[in-house]
Amino acid sequence: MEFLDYFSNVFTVYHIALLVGGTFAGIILGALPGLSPTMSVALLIPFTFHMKPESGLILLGAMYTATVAGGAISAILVNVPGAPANIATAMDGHQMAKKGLSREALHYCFISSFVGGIFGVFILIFFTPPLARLSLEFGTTELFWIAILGITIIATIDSKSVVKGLLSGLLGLMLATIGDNPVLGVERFVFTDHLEGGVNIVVGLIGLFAMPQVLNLMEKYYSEKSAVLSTEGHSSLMQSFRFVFSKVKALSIGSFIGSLVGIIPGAGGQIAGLVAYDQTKKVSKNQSNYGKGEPEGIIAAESANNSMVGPSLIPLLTLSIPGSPTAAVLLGGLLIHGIFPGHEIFVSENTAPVVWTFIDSLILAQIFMLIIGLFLSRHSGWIMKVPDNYMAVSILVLAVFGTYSIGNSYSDVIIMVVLGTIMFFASKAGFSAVPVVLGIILGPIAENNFLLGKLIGGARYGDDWMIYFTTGTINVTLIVICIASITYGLYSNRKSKKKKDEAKSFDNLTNRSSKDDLEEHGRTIGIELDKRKSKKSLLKELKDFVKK
Amino acid sequence: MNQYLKISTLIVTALAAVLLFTSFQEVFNPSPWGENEDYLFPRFIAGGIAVLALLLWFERDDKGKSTNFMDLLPGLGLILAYLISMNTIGFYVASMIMFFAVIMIYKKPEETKDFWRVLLIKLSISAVFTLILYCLFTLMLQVRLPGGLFF
Amino acid sequence: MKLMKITKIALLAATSLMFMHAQADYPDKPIGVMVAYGPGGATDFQARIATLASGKEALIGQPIYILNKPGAGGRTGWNWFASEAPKDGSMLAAYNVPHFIAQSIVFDTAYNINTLEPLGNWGADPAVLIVGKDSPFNTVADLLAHADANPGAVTISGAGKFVGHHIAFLQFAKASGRDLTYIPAKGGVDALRLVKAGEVSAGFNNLSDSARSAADLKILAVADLTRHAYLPDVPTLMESGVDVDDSSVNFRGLMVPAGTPQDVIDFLASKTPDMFNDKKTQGKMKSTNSPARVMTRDEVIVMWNERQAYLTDLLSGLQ
Repeated sequence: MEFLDYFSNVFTVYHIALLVGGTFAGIILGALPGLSPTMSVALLIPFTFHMKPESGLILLGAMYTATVAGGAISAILVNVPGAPANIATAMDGHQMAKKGLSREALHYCFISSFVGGIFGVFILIFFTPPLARLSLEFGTTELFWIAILGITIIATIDSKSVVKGLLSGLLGLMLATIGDNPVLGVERFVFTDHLEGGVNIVVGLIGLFAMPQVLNLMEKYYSEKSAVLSTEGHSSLMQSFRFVFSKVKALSIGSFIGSLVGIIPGAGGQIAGLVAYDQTKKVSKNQSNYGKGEPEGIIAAESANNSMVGPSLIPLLTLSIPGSPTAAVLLGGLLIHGIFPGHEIFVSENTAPVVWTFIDSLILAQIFMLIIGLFLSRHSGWIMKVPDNYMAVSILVLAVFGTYSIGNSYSDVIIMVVLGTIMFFASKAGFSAVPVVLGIILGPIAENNFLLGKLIGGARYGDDWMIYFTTGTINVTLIVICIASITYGLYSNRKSKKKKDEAKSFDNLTNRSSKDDLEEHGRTIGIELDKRKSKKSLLKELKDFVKK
Repeated sequence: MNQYLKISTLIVTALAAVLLFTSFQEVFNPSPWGENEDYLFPRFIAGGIAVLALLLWFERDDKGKSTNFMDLLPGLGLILAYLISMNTIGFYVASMIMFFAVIMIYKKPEETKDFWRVLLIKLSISAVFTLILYCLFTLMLQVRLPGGLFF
Repeated sequence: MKLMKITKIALLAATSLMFMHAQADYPDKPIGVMVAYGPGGATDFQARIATLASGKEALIGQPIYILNKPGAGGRTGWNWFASEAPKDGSMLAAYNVPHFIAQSIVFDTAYNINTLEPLGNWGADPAVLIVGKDSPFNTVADLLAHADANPGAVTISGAGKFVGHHIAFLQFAKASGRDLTYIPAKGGVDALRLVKAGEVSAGFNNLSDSARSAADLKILAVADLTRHAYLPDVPTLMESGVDVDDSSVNFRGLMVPAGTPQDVIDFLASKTPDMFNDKKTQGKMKSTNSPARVMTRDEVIVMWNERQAYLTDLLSGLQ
C-alpha cells in the first residue's frame, strides 16, 4: 500500500493545476489528427525539461492518459480517429453519431475509458513484479505470432467481403515495407525521395481516414442536404453510467485485453482497441449490429485503450522496455530527469517518491479525464452542426499540420494526401481503410520479428530454425489462438451467410403459407413449433428466432 | 459489378504484377548488399495480392456508387494547389488562402445574398482559424512550420 | 564601358558591404539544430542539454531550438540537411559518428564528410559487450570459448545495421576470428531486450544504457581505447585480448553544411566547445548518465577522416 503514502505529493495546487491543464490540453490534442499520444508526449518532453522530475512526469502522465481518450472524440464526431488506438471506436462511434447519438457515444467512451484506465493503473500498482517477468517472456517469436494473430482479424474486421478485406490488409502490409528496414539494412521500394522515410503509421492513418472524409464532404456538398442532427441527448448522464456498467462483458474483455497488450513490449499497444473490439464482437449475441452503431463496440475498444496505459509502464519502469510506442517516448522523459528504470525504482530513496507520485497522479488523471471528458461531450454537439464546407477544409488543414508536425517533413504531407485520395476512390469500390492501417501497423512487427527469429533460430538449430517458432508455452498458445481465430472467423462467416439465406427464404413464407409449411421451415432452422397456436404467433416466433 | 470495382480490379491486377516483378527481380533494390532475404516478405505479400486480385474478378457487388466529379473537381484542384504552394508561400498563408477559397467556392445559394458582407465574414473566419492554428502549433507545441516568403 | 565598370565596382562594393554587415550581425536570431532522430531519444535530449548555454552573451548569444527530422535511421534528416538546409549558420545539425559516415559509404546519400563541416563534439558513448544476468559467460574469454565449441551459434544483438553496434560486432568478429551471428534489432532498446530476455548470447549496446541496467546485465568489456569513468572495473576489449579500437564509439556533436561562410564556421567552432563545457550543462549530462567528451573542430576533422578511411575498408569487406 505504498502508493497511498505519496498521494499528498500530488495534492499541491501546482500539481493539481498541471493535472487539470494537462488533461484538458491532452483531450483536445488527442482529438486533432496527427497529434497521437506518442506525438503529444514527445512534443511535451522538452517542456518538462526545466520542471522538477515529479512535476514533469505528472504532466506527461496526464497527457498520455488524456490523449488516448481524446482520440475518440474525433473518431466519433467526424470519423477521423486521433490515433491508431481509436480506429475501433470510429467504426461504431461515428455510426452512433450519425443517428444523433453523439453525446451518448461520447459518454460511453469516457466512462469506459475511465473504468479501463483505473483497472490498468491498479494492475500497475499491485502486479508489477510478476508481470514484468511475464513481459520478458514475450520475445521475438511470440511477437511474430501476435502480429499474425492481428493479421487473422484483418479479413473480417470492417469489410463485408473477405476478398476485399484481405486485399486491403495485404496492401497495408506492402505499404509498410516501403523505405528503410533496420533489420535488413536495405531500402526497399523507394521510387522517389519522398518515400525514403517510409509510410509512418500515423501519417497513413490520417491520410486513409481524414482525406476520404474531406473529399466526401466536398463531393456531397450540393447533392446531399447536411442533416442537422439533434444532439440534445436522449438519455441522462446517470443512464449512460448505468448502461456502461450493465455491459460487464464488454468492459471486462476490453480491460483485460488492454492490460495484456500493454505489458507486451513493442508497438502492439496500438492494436489493443481493435483486438478487444474483435473479441467482444465474436462473443456478442448481436454481432450483426457491429459496425452499425453498437455501443458495446465503443465500450470494449475504449476500455482497452485506456487500460493499456498503466500496464505499458510495467516493463518500462522495471526493465527499461516500453510496452507501447508512447511508453517508448516516455522513457526519454524519465531519463532526461535522471530517473533510471530498474527493479529498485519503486524502493530506492531517490526514485521511489517521484515514481509513486507519478503513479498516484495517473489515478487522478483518470478522474479528471472522466470529468473533463463528460463536460466536453455536453458541448461537443456544435461540432456536428459545423457546415460541411467549413468542416471539410478544417479537417484538411488540421490533417496537413498534424502530418507535418510528426516528422517536420513535407514528404509526409504528400504521402498523406496521395494515400487518402486513392483511399477515397477505393472506398467507392467497397474497400475499407481499417484493414489497410492494421496492415501498416502489423507489417513491420511480423516481418522484423520473423527475420530476427529466423536468425536466432538458425544460430541455435541450424536448418531447423522453425523449431524456434513452434516451441515454448506462449508460442504454442498463440498458435492455437491463431487457428481458433481463423476457424471461428470462417464459421461465423458461414453462419451469418446461412442466416441471411434463411432470412431470405423466410420472406417467402407469408400468411398464405400453411401451418405445415411454417413447421417445416422451423425444423430446418432448428426450432420446434407448436401447431396449436395461431399462424400469426407462429410467424412471430420464427421471426424472433431468426433475429437471434 | 460496379464501375469502380471494375477499375480497381484492373488496377490491383496490374499492381500485383508490378509488385511480383519488383520483389522477384530486385530491380529497384538500391543496396549493393542485396541478400535473398531482403525481398522475402514482399514476395509473400505480392503473391497474396496476386491471388486475391484474381479472386476479385469474380467478386460480385450490386451496390453501385458513383462519383459526383462536377462537385469534387474544384476541391481536388484546390488541394493540389494547396500542396504545391504551401512550401513556397508558407504553411500559414497557404492554409488561410485554402480555407477562404474552399468556403467561398463551396457555398449554398442562400449565402450569396450580400456578397461583400459574406466575403468579409468569411475572410475574418479564415484569419481567425489560421491564428488559432498558429497559437496551437507554433506557440504551444513549438512545431516549426515552413514559413516561406512571408514569415 | 567606363560607366559599366564603375557600376560593377559599386555593385560589388555594395554587395560585399551588405555581406559583411550580415556577417557582423550573426547570429541575429535563434539558431536551429536539426536532430535526425525523434524527440525523447538519446541524441535528441543530449542535443538539448548540450546547447542549453547557447544564449549566454559570451557564448553564441542566441538561444538554440531543436528541429527533429526522424526517418530511415537518420538518413531522412541528414539528406535534408546536406541538400536543403540554409547555408548561413541559421541551421546546424547534430551528427552521430560512425552512423552517418557508414551510411554515406553504404547508401546513396546526399551527405558525406566532404559536404559537412564539424563545429565541435559534445559526447562519446562507447559500445559495450553485454550478456544477460543469468548468462554462463563472465568474461570475453568465456564467450569466445563457447564460440569455438559452437561455430555460428553465438548470437550478438545490436541496434540495426551500419550503426556503432554493428561496427563493433564486425570488428569483434574480425579480430577474434570466430564465426559469430549478428542479430540486428530494430533499435537500441529492442537490442537490449533481446539480451535481458536471454534470447541472444550477448549484445553490443550503448555504455550509457547498459550502465543504467546493471541489475539485469553483466558488462564484459568496453569497445574503446581506455576504460570508462562510469565503469572503472570493466576492461576494454583490448585488455581482454581482442584487438578492437574505438572506431565504434558513438560520437555526438554539431555541424553545418559545407558552403557555410568560413567566418560563420570559425565563429561557431570557437564557441561550441565552451558551450559544451558550461558548468550547468556538464552537471546535467552527468545526472542523466550521458557520457561527455568535448572536442574542438580540428580534433573532430581528424576523427572524421580516420573513421572514413577505416569504415570504407571494413565495410567493403562485407560485399
